[in-house]
Amino acid sequence: MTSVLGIDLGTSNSVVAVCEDGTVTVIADEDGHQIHPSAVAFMPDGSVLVGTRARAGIIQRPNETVVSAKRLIGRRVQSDEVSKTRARMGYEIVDQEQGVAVKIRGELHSLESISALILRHLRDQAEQFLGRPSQKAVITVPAYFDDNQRQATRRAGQMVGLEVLRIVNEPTAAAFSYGYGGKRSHRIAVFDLGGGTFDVSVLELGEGALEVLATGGDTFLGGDDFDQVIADQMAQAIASQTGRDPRSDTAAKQRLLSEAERAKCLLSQNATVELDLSAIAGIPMQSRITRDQFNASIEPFINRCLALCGQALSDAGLHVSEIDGVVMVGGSTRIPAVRAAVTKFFRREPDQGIDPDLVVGVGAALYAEQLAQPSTQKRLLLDVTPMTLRLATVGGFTEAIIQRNAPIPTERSRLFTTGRDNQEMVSLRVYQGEEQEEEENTLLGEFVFGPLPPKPRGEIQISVTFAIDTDGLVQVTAQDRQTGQAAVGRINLSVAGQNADSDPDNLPAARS
Amino acid sequence: MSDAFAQWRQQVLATALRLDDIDYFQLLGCQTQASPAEIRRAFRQLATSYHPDRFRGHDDTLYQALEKIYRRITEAYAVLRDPTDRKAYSAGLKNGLKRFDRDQAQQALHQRAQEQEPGTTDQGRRHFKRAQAALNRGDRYSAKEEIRMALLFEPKEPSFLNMAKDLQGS
Repeated sequence: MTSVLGIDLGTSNSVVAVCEDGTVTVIADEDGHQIHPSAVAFMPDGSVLVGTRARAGIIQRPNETVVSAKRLIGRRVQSDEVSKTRARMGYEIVDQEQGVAVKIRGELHSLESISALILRHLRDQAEQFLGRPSQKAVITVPAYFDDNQRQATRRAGQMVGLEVLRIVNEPTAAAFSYGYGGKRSHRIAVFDLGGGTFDVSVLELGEGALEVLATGGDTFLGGDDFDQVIADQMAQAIASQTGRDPRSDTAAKQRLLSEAERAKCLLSQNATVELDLSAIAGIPMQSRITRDQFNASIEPFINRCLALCGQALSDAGLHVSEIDGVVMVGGSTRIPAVRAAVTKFFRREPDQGIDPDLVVGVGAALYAEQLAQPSTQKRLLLDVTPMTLRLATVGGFTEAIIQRNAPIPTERSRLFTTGRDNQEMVSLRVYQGEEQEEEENTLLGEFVFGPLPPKPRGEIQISVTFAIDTDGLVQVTAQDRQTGQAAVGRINLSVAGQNADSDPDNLPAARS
Repeated sequence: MSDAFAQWRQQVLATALRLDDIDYFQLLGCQTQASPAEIRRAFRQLATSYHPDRFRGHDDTLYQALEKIYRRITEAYAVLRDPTDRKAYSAGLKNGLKRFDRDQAQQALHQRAQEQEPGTTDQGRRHFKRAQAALNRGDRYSAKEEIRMALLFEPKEPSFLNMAKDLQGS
């Protein structure tokens, strides 16, 4: 039999699980760790370390160890997220025509290839456990990932020969691993705060189906931000003592972050954590951080999460009292202040159940098994698209084609015509986001349809279909009504990059 | 394969072929007056029987037919659960438009209501009127200038945007 892997490819940590005959096994690496750090180290001898061993050497090799690659995958060069990540990381991030890449010892690596190395590592662990090759997987992504990020994740899987049966949203996978259901339907909220991303989904779990009612999130909000806040405070304390900001040195920056992460985790158990900053400061220096200080520092981040929860509830048309359960996902939900804020917001204690670090991987494995089984008795996932799909019109504005939280797979069709005599092509710039203004949204790509036969303006009718498939991937197809000539365009980042400053005159005219 | 299943399968394959002849209400099995709750219930019910995942890796022909139908079901549901879109769709449906196209539906609404003058500001309306007048006498250049002015006051007014689009490239 072939087992399909369930892979939670996280910002900081990844999990791989497999389900056989209804029993899920979370696979441990050779050192017994079920949680595999999403780290890749390029060693001087040309070898590559992945996972626990790569993460362990990050202080010695901050410039050669790639962590948090998920924060960069599928991102465009000029985005805020890229600059923020660049400021934090020891490794070099460079702009390429097809998006960002990392540069290690002069050698370029795409973010997909970094994720691919992590996926290969996870698959190797699974194959060792299973004792046979494994080529199929379900990979989870944050619900709030856009098309660029989903496409890149899928390509990463393909690079190492994995057949990606489905890209599943993390909160949806988490809900799948919970034993809700039965006759009565439940409405639950999944609060997923990981290392790099935050998602909230509101689901209705009924007989035979999990229906996502609404989802929301921020792909740049997570535990990494908490580490950064503590690290910055430590750096300021050191600077005031020594007159030198340790963040100017990449190794010290990495030490600060590691120390901050350690303190953060300890603060979940202890009210105070003593910090020995001597090694970073270069002089004997002791400091301490209290839980109250930490809570105050992360409050703005928690408030942002709660605001997104409110938005998701309102999109689902539900009042908080109509929620029957809250599921916590991601390591950052271990923080007492996060749990307290969630309890207060949802007016109930979150459900105690599966380990918040493993729940997504377990759900992915369960879903993977039933996707692979030729059975019609399936527990269906009815998911939604997280962002509104938009089309550029005139004057820097966009028009909504498929609204956010629309159930997927779905499609929408529009008729366009040419705006000029003998117009040779029509180009469609497709975006995801919630703003009317073109530049406030994320460009997915530009789809060019042509060459068109020479005709007076308005005589050519082009029927364009915008589809979102079960993986949340966007596809645009166009057909000339008269000739039946068809063109299919799978939007991708490279296409977007190449056409960044193309001719605005080729934008479609509305059908008149 | 049971007789009932074989029959259902045949029906699905046939439906996939004539999807464009079925309007959203027929597809969801609802009355045109159906309440939002009824629309929602209908969608959920259809989702559990028509979701293509049920037959993934099991029956490819059926899977593809269901995929096609299911996409249209979600499309119908998304349009009908939105009060504005539903109104526009229903108006277009009276003209025989079985699939929602915002522009076409908008036109149907316009026809029906014989819409009053577009625009919400005096300046916007004035420039729009001048643009229309310029267009009537064939002066596309002035029309373009006027609509540009109108859009300065009301950058999101659909009628202004439409005219600007029409004039674009001339």
